[in-house]
Amino acid sequence: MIPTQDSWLSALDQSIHEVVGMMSTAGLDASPACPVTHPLGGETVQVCLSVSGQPAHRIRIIVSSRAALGWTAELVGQPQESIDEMVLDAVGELGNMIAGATKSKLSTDGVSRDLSIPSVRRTTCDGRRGDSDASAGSQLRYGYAGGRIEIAVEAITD
Amino acid sequence: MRVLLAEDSGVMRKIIARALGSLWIDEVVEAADGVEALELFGDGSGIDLILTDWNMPNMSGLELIQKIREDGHKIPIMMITTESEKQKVVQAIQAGVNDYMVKPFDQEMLQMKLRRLLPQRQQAT
Repeated sequence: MIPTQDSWLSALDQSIHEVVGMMSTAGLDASPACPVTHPLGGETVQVCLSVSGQPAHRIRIIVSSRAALGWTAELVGQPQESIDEMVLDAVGELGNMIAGATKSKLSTDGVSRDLSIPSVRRTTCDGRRGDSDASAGSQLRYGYAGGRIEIAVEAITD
Repeated sequence: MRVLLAEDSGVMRKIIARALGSLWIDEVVEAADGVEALELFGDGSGIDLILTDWNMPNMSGLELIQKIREDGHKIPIMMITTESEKQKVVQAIQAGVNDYMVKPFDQEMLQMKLRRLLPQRQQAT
């Protein structure tokens, strides 16, 4: 059975909770309150991965600078002050682990899917609702370490 | 005791090296992809254990394992990866991996698995 968009979102939601729960002492803030308390503005880090299949899917994870710095500090065990190569690497690995876990949860259909190497870049947005790239697809939002994480997934049709 | 660690993420290399730090490891030799790992492995005489990621640029961890086994090396190899589907695990076992760990992982679980792999080598030598 081909996973629906809801299946993808549900698997992504479970996966981010597992990854953050396992690798970080800071917890995730469930989505409803996030748009107000954790605006996604200023500098962000975006990680993009594709998962093969019929159709293939693209997963985008946008992490605010504060959340990216908090996540990296948790992984390496020391505070981070600015977005550098180490932070980009750590956010890339966050995306890798979330996408890998998601792919596994969807594998009940017996299809083996391949995961691309994460593409990571810095982005900026002004924090208005709908301003981030992630808003293009179905979306999940979380508060984390005083910042914000958004995840979007979309089928690749071209 | 020398461990070859093939992993394209520097942060993940740091985390794994930290776990290795509490064990009886003399040196962790780090590689950012399979090609570099194969070069550092050389004839295999100076390496006692290989830890490798699956998805890496230039040469994947799976290809790395296949090449090392094709050359007849019996060194213990553990794959540490986000790939957790049954088909992928079977593929890795068929390629010759001795143990398998899925990311995200618990540090204590990683250390437990490493302890299980390392004494095998100590007893063999």
